[in-house]
Amino acid sequence: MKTKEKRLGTKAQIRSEKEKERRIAVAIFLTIILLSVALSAYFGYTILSPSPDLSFTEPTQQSKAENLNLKLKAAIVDQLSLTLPNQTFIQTATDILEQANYCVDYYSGVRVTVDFYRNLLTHAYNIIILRVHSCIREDGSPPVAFFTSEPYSQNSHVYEQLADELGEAHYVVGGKEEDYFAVNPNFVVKCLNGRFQNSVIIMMGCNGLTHTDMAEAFAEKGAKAYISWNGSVSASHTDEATAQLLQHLVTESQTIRQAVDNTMKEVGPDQEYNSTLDYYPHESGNYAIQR
Amino acid sequence: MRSDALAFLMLALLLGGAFNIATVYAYEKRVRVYAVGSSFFPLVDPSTVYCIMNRDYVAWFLDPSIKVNYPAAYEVRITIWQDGMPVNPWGGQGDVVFNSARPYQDGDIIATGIVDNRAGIWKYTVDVLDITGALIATNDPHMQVTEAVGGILIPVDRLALFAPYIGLASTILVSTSATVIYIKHVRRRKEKQ
Repeated sequence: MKTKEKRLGTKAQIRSEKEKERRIAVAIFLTIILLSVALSAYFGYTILSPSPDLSFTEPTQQSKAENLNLKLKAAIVDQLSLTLPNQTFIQTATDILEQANYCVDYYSGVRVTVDFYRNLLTHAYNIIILRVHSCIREDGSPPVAFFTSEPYSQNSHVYEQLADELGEAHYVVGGKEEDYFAVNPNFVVKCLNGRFQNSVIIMMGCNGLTHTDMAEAFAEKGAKAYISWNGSVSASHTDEATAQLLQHLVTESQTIRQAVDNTMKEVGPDQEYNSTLDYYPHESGNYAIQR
Repeated sequence: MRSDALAFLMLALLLGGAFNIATVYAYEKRVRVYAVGSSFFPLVDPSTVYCIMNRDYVAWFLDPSIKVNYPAAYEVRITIWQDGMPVNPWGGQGDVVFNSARPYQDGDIIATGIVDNRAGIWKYTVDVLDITGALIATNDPHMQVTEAVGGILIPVDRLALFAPYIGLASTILVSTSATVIYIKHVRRRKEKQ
């Protein structure tokens, strides 16, 4: 009788041990699953979280003059308004264009997002003035990239970043360091919706023509000419030069070569960086903007 | 301050020969100070006070190219604002007064100072005083100094971009493995029973 009780006791012990093991296994399994769900949710959210809606397609300001030719359209993209505003330049440029019957759309800095560039061609502008920060790599190598005003994040536009269409652009203004998404030539070629209709691009930022990759990208998308600086340039100098350039190109209907040459004669190279205006492709030198 | 100014002048003379500012300071901003609103006859023309600003310092000096017989100006007072805020490249607060033991002459450096941040709208009043301290002339010019419209393109950190995807894939893998192991474990136990 005692032996039987003992045997039963051992069995019960083994059973309870097994039950304990089972409970531990279930607990471990549930912990792993819970942890996995939490991590999946976190990473899923990180990957799928939408970037803030920064897509502004409407200009900040539009020409209201009545006698404007609606077929002639120009855009002033003023990303620099965030850091180096110059209302005098904007007014001068707008006046020159409006006097030549252009309908002028002005985009202030906050509107210059990645999606803004994506849809830039849908407006069929004849002249696009890009008053934007631009950059090349620290060692001076290409690509040439344009700043957006969209703060850089590793979690946004991931595909475009991996495809070298967007990059991270860094600058220091007034001792403040900031990073924004930059638009690379690959983005211009692959991501811009539509094509330019023989548009003339005036790129006012630094190094726009230090390398020709960005100019080539614009040409591939149908731009007639791309005018920019072959080095760094200060904001005041590029503003002064661009106002003169517009006067020659639009008001006086000079060819691109004449307008660039005359502008350089008048304002000279940038005093500090010694950069000069140039244009691409060189065959566009004989082109004069139609009015 | 005077010794700094003299060293500055000596360097300019050595490098530029005939004190050709445009050659010596090829990378500097040279902004003409224009005389404005001066209703009295200028005994000393403050419009001949130039301001040079480069990456490291700011300097005011009398235009060496204009040969005018200035009367005896012994004191120059400069008050500076940058973007509406008072700035003093020489330290301290308020007006900065520079005195000379002899009358200022053509090409004299009035002052040099250090500027940490050049960008902005600079306004400054230049008052020129004679030996008695009487105001001979004044000038209230401004200039805008801007930074380059560029920056640096930073290469994209692909590993950091992939990190969330790697994390997601890893968690899916771990949870799947755990499920498989658990199911196998349960089956084995049932078979034993």
